Amino acid sequence: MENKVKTDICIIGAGPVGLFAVFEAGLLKMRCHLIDVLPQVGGQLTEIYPQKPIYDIPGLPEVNAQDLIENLKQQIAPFKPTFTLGEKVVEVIKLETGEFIIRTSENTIVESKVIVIAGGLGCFEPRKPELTNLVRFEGRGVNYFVKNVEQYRGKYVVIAGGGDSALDWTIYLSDIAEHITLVHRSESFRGAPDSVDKVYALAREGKIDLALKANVSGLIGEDQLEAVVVENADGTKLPIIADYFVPLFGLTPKLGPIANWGLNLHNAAIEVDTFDYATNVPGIFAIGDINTYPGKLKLILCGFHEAALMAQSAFHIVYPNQKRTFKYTTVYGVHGF
Amino acid sequence: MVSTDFDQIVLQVTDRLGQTHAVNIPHNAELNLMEVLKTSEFKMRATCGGMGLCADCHCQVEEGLDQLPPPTFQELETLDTLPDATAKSRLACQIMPGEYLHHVSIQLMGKDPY
Repeated sequence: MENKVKTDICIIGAGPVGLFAVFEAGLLKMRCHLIDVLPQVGGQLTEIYPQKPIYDIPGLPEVNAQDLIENLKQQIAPFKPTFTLGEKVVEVIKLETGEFIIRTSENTIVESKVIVIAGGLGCFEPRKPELTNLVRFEGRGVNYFVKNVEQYRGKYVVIAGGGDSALDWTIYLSDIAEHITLVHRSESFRGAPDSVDKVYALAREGKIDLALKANVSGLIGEDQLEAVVVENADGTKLPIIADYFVPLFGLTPKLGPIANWGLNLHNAAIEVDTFDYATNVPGIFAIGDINTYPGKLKLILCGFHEAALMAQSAFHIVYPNQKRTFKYTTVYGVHGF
Repeated sequence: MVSTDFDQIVLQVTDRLGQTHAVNIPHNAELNLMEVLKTSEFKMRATCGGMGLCADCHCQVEEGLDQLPPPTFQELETLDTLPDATAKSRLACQIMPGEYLHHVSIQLMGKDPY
């Protein structure tokens, strides 16, 4: 079903810089809608290093990455941002009126006057194993995410990977699938000890098969996946029946569709004017790690600064007939919507 | 000319396009190997900035693996999540430069990030 949203600014990327942009836009009475491919806000801070300390946020001598995101969520709450999470922006259309139509992978449509790309290093996408016919079976037995668990009921499932997500889904699906095989290249797991213990227990009980020191080296099937080839460290190969193959090797950022939006790029980053972090496409700004300019530093604090300057110019697009007056929050406070 | 004495540590690096380069590392380098390579104009995205979490700096040590300090738990944990990791895999950001890198040969893994 099509889901439609109308907003002043559509922010692509809900990492720290995208979130803070809501605050700067909000001070100038502009409403924001954020889209992120990840199912949660926070970008790489939440996805890659939630428990790591950050030491260079002004005024916060040390802050845990996840805590910084929680603080930002609190800081922008008065401006009531709306979110589309777990969806990827696939298309951006500029109308003759100057406004934009943004369409996501799940057909959410956002209409906005301004686009702010705060996409970090790009869209987080699954790491894929190097298998010659992998693409052919995508959606025909090969899934990189477990979205609908019922899909696996009574099925033969092969999961590959050694991280927490491979362990967790093996445990969860062991009660649902007909048969689970977990394939991992090492001889041990370094995930959460609780999960590791559970997986070993399931294997001892015969509820799952563990293929350790092994890799999936081939996929077999016609239109639909029928089996995978598991190759052991000694080179021996064994076909295993598989309705589904779920490789869970974590996520890595890719520039993705941004590359097709007519923006000037340099080394996979978007070139901007440092006056206001505008791109070459009027109405589209790029802030944070995704942009590049002479002297660029990929620091969260730089992204915050960029968000503030971006908002001043965005104001003139959202309110073309109004004069902008700069107000200090210490004098006027923060007035939400 | 490639130096062979210990005035400089010389590391052989094969980039993701298959080209091999000799990289000189000063003795007093305070950067980790990922940063050294980035400074030497190799394409290093380093999503996590060098915490051993993102594997952008995944490399295979073709020669001299035994000379290197062993990987930490964090490094092994990250390597465990990669589809293309092997017994020779390391994360460059978790290796601090030292004389043990002299004549070591590494191959950068993955695809060029840009």
